[in-house]
Amino acid sequence: MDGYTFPNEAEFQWSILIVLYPFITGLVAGAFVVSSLYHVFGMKSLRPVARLALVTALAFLLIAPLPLQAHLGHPERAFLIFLQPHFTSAMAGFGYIWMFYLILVVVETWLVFRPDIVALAQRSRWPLSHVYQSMALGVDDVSEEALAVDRTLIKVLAAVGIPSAALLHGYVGFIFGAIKANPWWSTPLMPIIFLLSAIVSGIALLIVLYVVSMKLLDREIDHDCVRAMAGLLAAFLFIDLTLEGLEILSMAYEQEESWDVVRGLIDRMAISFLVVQILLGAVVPLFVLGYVSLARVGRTLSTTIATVAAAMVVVGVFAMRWNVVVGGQMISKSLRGYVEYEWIFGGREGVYMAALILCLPLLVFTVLATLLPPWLPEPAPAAAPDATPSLQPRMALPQGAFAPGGERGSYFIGLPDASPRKRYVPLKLAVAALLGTMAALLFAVLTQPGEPRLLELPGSRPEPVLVTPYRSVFAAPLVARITEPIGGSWVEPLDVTLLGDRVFVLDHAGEQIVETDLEGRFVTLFNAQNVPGLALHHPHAMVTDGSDIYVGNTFPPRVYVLDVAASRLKRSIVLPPGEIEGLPAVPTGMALTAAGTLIISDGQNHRLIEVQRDGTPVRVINRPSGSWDLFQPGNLNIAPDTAAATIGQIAVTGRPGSVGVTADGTILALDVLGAGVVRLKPDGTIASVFARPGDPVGGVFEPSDIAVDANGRIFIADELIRGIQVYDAAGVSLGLLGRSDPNTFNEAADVMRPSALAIQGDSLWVVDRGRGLVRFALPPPEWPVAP
Amino acid sequence: VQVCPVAATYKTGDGVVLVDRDKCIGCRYCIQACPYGARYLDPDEHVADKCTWCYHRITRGLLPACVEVCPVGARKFGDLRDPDSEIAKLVEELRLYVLKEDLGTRPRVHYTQLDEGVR
Repeated sequence: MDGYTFPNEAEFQWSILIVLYPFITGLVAGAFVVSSLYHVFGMKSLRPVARLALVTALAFLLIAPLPLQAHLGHPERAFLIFLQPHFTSAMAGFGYIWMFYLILVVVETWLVFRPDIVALAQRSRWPLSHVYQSMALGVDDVSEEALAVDRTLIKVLAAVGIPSAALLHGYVGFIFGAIKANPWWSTPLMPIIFLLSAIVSGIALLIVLYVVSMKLLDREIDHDCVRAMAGLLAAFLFIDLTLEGLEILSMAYEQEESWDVVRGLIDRMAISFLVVQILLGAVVPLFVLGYVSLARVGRTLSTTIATVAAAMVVVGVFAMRWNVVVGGQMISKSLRGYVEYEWIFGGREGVYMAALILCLPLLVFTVLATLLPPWLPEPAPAAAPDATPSLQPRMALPQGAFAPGGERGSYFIGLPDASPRKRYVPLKLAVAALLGTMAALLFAVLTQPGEPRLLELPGSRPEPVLVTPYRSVFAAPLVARITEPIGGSWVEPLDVTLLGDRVFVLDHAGEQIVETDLEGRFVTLFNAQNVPGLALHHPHAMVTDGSDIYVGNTFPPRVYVLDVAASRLKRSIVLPPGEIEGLPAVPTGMALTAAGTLIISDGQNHRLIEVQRDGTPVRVINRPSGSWDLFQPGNLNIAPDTAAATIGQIAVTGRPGSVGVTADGTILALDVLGAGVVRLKPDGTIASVFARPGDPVGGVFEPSDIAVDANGRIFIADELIRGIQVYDAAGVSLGLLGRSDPNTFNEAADVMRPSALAIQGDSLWVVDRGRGLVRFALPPPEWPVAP
Repeated sequence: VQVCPVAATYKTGDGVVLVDRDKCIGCRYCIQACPYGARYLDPDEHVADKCTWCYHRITRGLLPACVEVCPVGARKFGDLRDPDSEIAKLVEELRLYVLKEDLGTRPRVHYTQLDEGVR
């Protein structure tokens, strides 16, 4: 990644398999053109490779769709492109063009090899004889008249094949050239460049295949043929190089908006583009081939040099495909940045898969060449001036050529001049090496990491665990949901407290207390209008002592004592300001002790205040050590050095939120910033801290309220995890209440933003901010048993 | 959409481009052809995907979620065919910009106060 890229470009879409696709089709087109040069244009020097070219084209053509197939997100839907093609798409034609071309090549190959097939059917033993008989398709007429008809057909097919080859591969270029969104691809020259590089790569491959095969078979190389091919290769390479150069030149000269990004791309691809594709894959071979063609060098030396140069050209063309396919995707659509290619080796789209597919045509070629040996030069037509005067039906295969005796088990049968005793050791080794490589690659494809997998075996891919499944459900059935009081309304319920069958809901934004009955029917309101002095402004918390309700108000900061029976304000308690900074005490949480005093949380001053119910201060509990003090490793995502630098600040940042008191007088204070529950002994010293967010089980993150039931169970509402964490009296997690699956946020939750809790008997009342009241029935204390 | 070989991605009558997830073969040609980088391959279902303008919401008369939640109202959404709609009036009144118009994409996403450097 470099510069400005779009988020979706982080993933590389067309992998190395899409590099293979134009490479393989290009080899097909090129090989076919060579065969047509002989069949249509009568380039007799190409006669030794005319058949080889056809077999090569067929072998690669059969494999050509495989990289595409393997690359599809849904390979099983590939047939859709045949059944319901969308012809405005440049890609929709591939299936048809490929199919048409396959038929053409198969028919031409059959016609060319028909005399051999007939002869082989007669001469080979069972079961091969049956194979050849079926391959002959019942046409065993190899009379001169029949062969003449064949030759005419071959000539027609070869002639049709040239534009077809151009179509097949020009079309591949068009698929890229038609992408106007990509400046590296979008050029009308693309089909022509693809076509020429295809021809170049096909000729080069044929040179290599021919020379190597002849060596492996221990047969004589026709040096004139190689020389002719080298000349052809040089000519096409020259045109190809010129066109590629022109394309870059015109881009560079026009200097359109996209040129900057293209120039940067060329810099980035210096090795694969400038060195491998241009220098080693084109310029050097061009000079070498030119030298071989023009200068007087020995025949063997010239063939060797031409073969090496041809191999370089094949690699260069592969680099060209790479630079087009991968290079084009390296450019961000923003034209202001680059994406890096990510090497993936295993899986269905990885490098090993590509290598395996690249080996496949060689295997197919070996099989085809075993069945239909292309080593014999094609018989010259009788009409040709240099033809043998009398062409016998089977003269192409001299008698004895198929003597199977000593040759059973060898890879190539029917070699006219091969002595039966030849062992073909290098050939066998080469085939064994090919098979071994392919087996190793297949193993690598299946075992190495990479997505998607080639085979989705059940259990072969463990589901990624995103959330550690550590929370269990605290099963408390939802009894009622009161979104709005019946016959009344509230704006933003924030807290709730109960007095017998009277339910009081603190309406934060409505600046009032709404009273309902247990079924949610509206009863009355308490606000500044009907209770003089009850100036509720940002009220935060409520608690009741059984007759009065204590309301913590933030502006002005005080505790209102409301006599709900008489609907009057008994008094207002103003709390002592903080000792250190002198900030006013703002009540954000309140709880009643067994002794009848109030524990009030003063978060702003980081302390708890205990007062009598008449407002007389009892004591102040300032930060006990290790309590609401943020500087606990892992509390928040603060880097250690940052934390250390701001330790002075942080030490006063943690603050108590809601408070609760258990039956034995233990004070439980939520630390809203450090997140966790501080357990204080009745004397105000710290006992323990639990429910930290980093805890493996039952941590809280954004605790809003705490409640303790008659059985000592502790309930903590958490707005971040959208539920209520439940603990036993010792602080051991009993599970999460409010979501059917506590480990995912996908399921609908019973509560979305629980902001307050109240417990009466076996009922847990939850205020869901913006959603009203939710009532749960608490299960008996013996359930669940703590693990 | 022009480049899809199996017509799995299409434009609805109301102008939203969607992907038929049961039909997409995952060739990713549309991802390559999108000048805006708007498309991606769904990593789980291996089909192309893109913003649907919350089609499930807008067909029920709701706004797309991103428009709904934007705290400062920076996003507006509406039916450009309705001359009385807020969006049509904004397009009429404000000086708005579109991206990569020169590629013939006929964009319907308008930007206000767009920086010249944005592509």
